[in-house]
Amino acid sequence: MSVENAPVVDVDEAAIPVEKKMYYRFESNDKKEFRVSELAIQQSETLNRLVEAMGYTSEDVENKPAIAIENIDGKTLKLVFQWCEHHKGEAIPVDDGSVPKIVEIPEFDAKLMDIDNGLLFKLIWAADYLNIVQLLNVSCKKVANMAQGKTPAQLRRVYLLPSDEEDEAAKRAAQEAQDPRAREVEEEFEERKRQGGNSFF
Amino acid sequence: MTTFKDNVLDAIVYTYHSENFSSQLAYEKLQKLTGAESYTLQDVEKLYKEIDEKVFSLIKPKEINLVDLPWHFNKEVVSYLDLASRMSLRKTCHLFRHLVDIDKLSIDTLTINLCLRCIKITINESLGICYTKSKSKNCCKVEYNNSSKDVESSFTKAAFRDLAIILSNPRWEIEVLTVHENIYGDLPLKTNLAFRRFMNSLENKPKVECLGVSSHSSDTLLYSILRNLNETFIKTIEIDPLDQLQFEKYEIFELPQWKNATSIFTLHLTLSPDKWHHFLDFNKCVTWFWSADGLTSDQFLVWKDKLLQNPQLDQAKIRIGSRNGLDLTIINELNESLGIQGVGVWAKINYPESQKKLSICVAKNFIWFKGPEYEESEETDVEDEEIDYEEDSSDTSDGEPDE
Repeated sequence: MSVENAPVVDVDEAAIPVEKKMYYRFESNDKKEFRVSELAIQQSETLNRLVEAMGYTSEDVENKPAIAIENIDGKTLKLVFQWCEHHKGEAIPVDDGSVPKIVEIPEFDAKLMDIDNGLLFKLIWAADYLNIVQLLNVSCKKVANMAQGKTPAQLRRVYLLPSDEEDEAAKRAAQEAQDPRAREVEEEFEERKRQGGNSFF
Repeated sequence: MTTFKDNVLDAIVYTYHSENFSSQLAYEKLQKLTGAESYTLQDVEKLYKEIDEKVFSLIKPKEINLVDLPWHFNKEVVSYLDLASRMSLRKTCHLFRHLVDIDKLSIDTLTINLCLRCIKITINESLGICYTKSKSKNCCKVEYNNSSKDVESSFTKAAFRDLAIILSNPRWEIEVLTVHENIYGDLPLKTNLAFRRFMNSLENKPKVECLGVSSHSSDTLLYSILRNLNETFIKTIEIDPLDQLQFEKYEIFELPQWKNATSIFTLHLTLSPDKWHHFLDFNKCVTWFWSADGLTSDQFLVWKDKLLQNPQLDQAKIRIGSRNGLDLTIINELNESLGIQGVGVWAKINYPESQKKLSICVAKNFIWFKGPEYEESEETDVEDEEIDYEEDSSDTSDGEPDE
């Protein structure tokens, strides 16, 4: 099934199946509304717990305001719910402790994540916030694949990483909160920079 | 063309809204003010809507980059990366330097080639970096993946600085570390010396499972490396002397790393037989000594008794000489001490209070002890038969092995 044809989102009443399934309504921070099936919601631990706690009836779902997800925008939330609908009913993977995890990126997911990196990182942020384990797994593998064979300069561009100056500023701000090892790493980094940044690694 | 920051334009639109201008008028005034269509009418209408709905803000949402993502996510990203990508990533920013450094990593092979004017580091037989001395003083050329850059540093310093990142990381493990000394041209004595100093300067003891050294001064180089490795991690030692090495660094035998290792493989060492017992501390020993001059049956019996204390023994195979092996007198003397006669005959001795056997064979070019853990392999048998055949053909007194 293509990403474009994924069953989700911008509500089309006719598209709602006849069977008595509950479709919850969610609203992004830019006021876009989505209808998502009960089964798809189960892919998100956060949303699943939320709707369970709310205990909505079919009438409540229609009559009460849409559930607001205040820190995710519509564009990102659309991708999230497309993913959830496509994978609804699938078992949620349990972490078996293997490092790295063995993850295959399905074709649908690959197409869904074929987006600009800024949006991809928003999607990952949302997946983490909504606790969608398998979406996090595949996106993590995708981000790792992006690094293979890249130089540091290319990685900075691909990953939208901060410049050294921005990094320094952020580091100074967080300095006091660091653990001892992180401080050592920073000192080593500074020392290397003082030496002219000549090292290969 | 003049460009305006979005929040400046947004602020102007906000002002027009507060003056109760229509969105159309605001759009026209904005166009006139900026001299270009910075915002379309739809843009202005969208902003008016946001203001009306009280969701307008001059603060734009920050673009998310990788470092903004959860720590655990980025840590997992690192876990997927190969060494080359990790090395690149750790140069980008503090966060990834930290994440790469704290993540466990197993390196299959790390090979260091020491030459007079260059050092080559090869990782996992794919990532190769070469540091070459430049003509200008204190400069070197670093070559990697068909690209090169000049670095203001001596080639040894540049190479060892990078090498330290791998070797000093307490979370990284190296399966096979091999240090080669260049065998062509002038001996890399200075590079060798610098490398030994570098090994002594490491902050942490590298976790190396198998250490291989091939050098004109294998014992000295081996000692410098071995003493700085993690004592509990080392399992195998391989020595390849590039010429007839007089093995003189007896301090090696006292190192905990030597004592803790379980296998040793060597080529052509010159070492008096009264020191050979140090090679019998291992569960598996395949070694080659140039000469057995001075070997006595008393020493031989001490070895036998020592090996009978080790039921974990795989084998101790001592090859002797290249052309001239043991002479017949000493062969007979050693065999007689075991109560057997003939060359190439296997004696089998029970381990104390056990059914396990220690098999011993003394032939012209080897003394071979096979322990309870030894497993016959076809390849070895063929090789050994050939050796025995040669011995048989040159010496009519040789007998057939009994197994």
